[in-house]
Amino acid sequence: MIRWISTGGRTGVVLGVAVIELGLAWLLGLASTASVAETLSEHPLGFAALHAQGGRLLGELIALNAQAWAPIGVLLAVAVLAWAVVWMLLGGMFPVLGSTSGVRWHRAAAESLRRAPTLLGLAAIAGAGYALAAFAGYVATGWGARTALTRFDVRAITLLGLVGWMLGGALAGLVTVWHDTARAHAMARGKAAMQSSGAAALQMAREPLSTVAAGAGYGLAAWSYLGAAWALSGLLEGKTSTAALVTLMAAQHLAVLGRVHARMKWFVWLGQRVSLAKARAE
Amino acid sequence: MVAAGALLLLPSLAGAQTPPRVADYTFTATLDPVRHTVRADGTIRWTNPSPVAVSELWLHQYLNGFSGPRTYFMRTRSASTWPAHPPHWGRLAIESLRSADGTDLLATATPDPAVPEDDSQLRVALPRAVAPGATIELAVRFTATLPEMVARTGYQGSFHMVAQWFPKVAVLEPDGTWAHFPFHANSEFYSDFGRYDIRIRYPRGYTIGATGPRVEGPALVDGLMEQRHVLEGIHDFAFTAWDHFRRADRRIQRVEVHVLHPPGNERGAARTLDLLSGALPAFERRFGPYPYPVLTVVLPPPGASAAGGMEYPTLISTGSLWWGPRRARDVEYITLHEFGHQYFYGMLASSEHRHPFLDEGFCEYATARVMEDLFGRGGPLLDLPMLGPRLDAWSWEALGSAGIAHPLSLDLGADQFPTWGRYGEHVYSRAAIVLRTMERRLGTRLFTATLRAYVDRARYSHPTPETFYAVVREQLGPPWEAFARTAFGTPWRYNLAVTGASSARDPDGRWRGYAVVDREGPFDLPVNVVFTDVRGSRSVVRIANDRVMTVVPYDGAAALRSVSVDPEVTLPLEQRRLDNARMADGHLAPTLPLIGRVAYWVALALGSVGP
Repeated sequence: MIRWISTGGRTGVVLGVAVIELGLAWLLGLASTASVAETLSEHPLGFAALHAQGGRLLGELIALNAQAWAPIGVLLAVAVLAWAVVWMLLGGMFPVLGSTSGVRWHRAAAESLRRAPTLLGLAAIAGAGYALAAFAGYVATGWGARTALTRFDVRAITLLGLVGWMLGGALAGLVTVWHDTARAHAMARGKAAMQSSGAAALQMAREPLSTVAAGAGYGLAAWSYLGAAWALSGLLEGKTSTAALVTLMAAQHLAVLGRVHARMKWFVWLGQRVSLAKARAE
Repeated sequence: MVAAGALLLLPSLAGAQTPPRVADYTFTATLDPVRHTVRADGTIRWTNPSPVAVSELWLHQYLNGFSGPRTYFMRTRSASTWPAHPPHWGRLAIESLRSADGTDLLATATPDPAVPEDDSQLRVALPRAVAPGATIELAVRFTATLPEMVARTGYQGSFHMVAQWFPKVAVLEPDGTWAHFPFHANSEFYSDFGRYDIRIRYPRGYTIGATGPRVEGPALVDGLMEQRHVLEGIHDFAFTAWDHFRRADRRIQRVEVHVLHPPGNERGAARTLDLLSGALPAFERRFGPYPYPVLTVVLPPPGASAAGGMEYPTLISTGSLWWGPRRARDVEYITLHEFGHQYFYGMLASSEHRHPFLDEGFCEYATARVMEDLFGRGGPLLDLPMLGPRLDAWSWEALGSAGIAHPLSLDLGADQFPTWGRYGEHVYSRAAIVLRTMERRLGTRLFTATLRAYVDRARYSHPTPETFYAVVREQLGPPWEAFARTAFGTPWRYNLAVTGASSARDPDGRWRGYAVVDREGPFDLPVNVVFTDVRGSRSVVRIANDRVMTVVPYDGAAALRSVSVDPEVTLPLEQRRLDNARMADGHLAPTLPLIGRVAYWVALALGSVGP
């Protein structure tokens, strides 16, 4: 029997990851809004000033803090980059937790760190894959635009361009599924980067529907939480009552939690799949 | 198809004035869409409108602004607005210019020697002086070579926006001086009213949109299609041609409105027609009748967006994304602006070179005003809740003006603004927000009546700021004339700020304190100061606002929470509204939702690269 996580349980890990992610986001949010928040705290409308006077106060705030936007952008970019590096190294712990019975999360993290060279190798290959996907999207879009321009139809031009970017997006999705699968192989079966890559590709080739469809399904589930929060923001944006603000903030934070949860479930599914394959092979 | 009864067309709707006929143009123009040229010949008939006899004539050849990298236009252009050079230069070459008696006038014609390397204007010595009220007729033949699309003029593939394509007589001012000027990159145009009778010849398969109603054609003549457009009471003529145009038509009141659009943008055309169905009556209610029988709106094709956003008499170019959401009202805004120019440029033909705020600023005000008429309070420009707070047209104008760090007078010539950006923030935004301030102070009804009086007085003429000031004096009195003269004619910064607010409990149980209101700038108009206590009770004090600092006493039953000055926004020309309100000492407003909102977006960014 495969247990998902031996210590703390699924909820604990999901909550842990989400809380760490949100905690960091709040720290960065505090840092990046410090000057704006100070100005707003002195205005009787507070946060609601952003929605007052037809956007005038918001525009003034943006202009008033013009000097701050570049440093804030750099701070956020560095933070996101650092977060990416952390998860490049720790990205292997979830397949371990998902596939191995009785392992504690810090051991899984340690194992992931031990396998860092492999994970970095996989990340590099995935990076190349994403670049390729973007390039394919760019080329397809350019081709579509050129083709459409000869027809002078603005709808065709937009839609053909969109098809190009959809192709790029689909390829990027495939790269994500492949990367996650390769990480699962690397961690569960102790394979090196190239072997894991091959194994993941083979799995996707042998079970294209189940692997890719499962990846798409979990991805969709993750995005659906964000989509729901976005839809809610459409209803509540501009409403500055405490109830509306609390509801929207809660919904957005739950959406982050839901996204992490869906992602975790996907890793569990992958871990189980790879473990079964390993068991069969043995 | 011939527009019914459309030869000369200025109905009595336009009030008592009839447009003067100073400069009449009769051309036959042949478009070669392969060589991108317009070959034309015909006559220019000019009547001296001044009390002074003149022995020279100045012609504008605006197209020559695009004839090479060293023209005045190209030397003064801003890198952020127009390209360093179009891939193909344009040129207006006059091949023959003769007076009625056959005298060759071209031989002695010269560009302005004061502007080297530029022939966007031509001085023509006349064989004999033209007496006041007398008329001369010039026979002219010329070829306009269009540049690849630059500054709303030229071609892109087989699409042609044919503007500033003919030699145009400069305006002779009432004092007998010629208002001629080189074509500056900030500047637009200035010319006299007259009758335009233009035959356009073009290859089969093309669709033409042009100034004025079509009164003949299209018919096949000598292998080319030909159609004739005639209109008087206008001061320019432009046309567009493309072999892929689709067309949508609607009669709005008595005006035939045509929208020429690329295939696939039927939605943009419908939006434009829907908008104009409300906008045309709205403009007429506020600014008087639109006197022309036709309006053509051009949505440029893909790749030719540089042709969009321009006004010519009865012909405007805009721009529209076929998929653009209805509540992102950029199409509406640009269409209203260009249509507004039919008033503030078209009928009120102020010098766009010397007093650009009179057309752009007044038009910008009219745009936001009608945006509010049509779409509700504030004139919502961007109202997409899922993408964040809404942006109103008035706020857009106010923010443009608020961004002015180094103020200049609004009444500078276009060429006197050092950059396009500073031209824009003054001439468009600040002028519009000054007018909006007058409206907010005087009330919409009274201010609209004043503007209407100005429009009625200046229709079919060349108004100057003095024209407007005179109307303001007559309608609103000397204080408002002084306000207008200061606001338009001097550089200013203006701001009100609550710089202090505090209260303390006195032994009698009452809370007493004060607010400090600082004023920077010249306008000493009274405003309200509103105190709000911690229980939410409000009290209003009217202050004269005639000092740079006013201390306003507070006396209330509870501690003072906040103070705001002019919360009704009766002075939108203020450069900053954020400091119009302030929490009292010891109180802070909640900002947690802001941090939470930003944290959410950061969490999404982290999640995109995270586990």
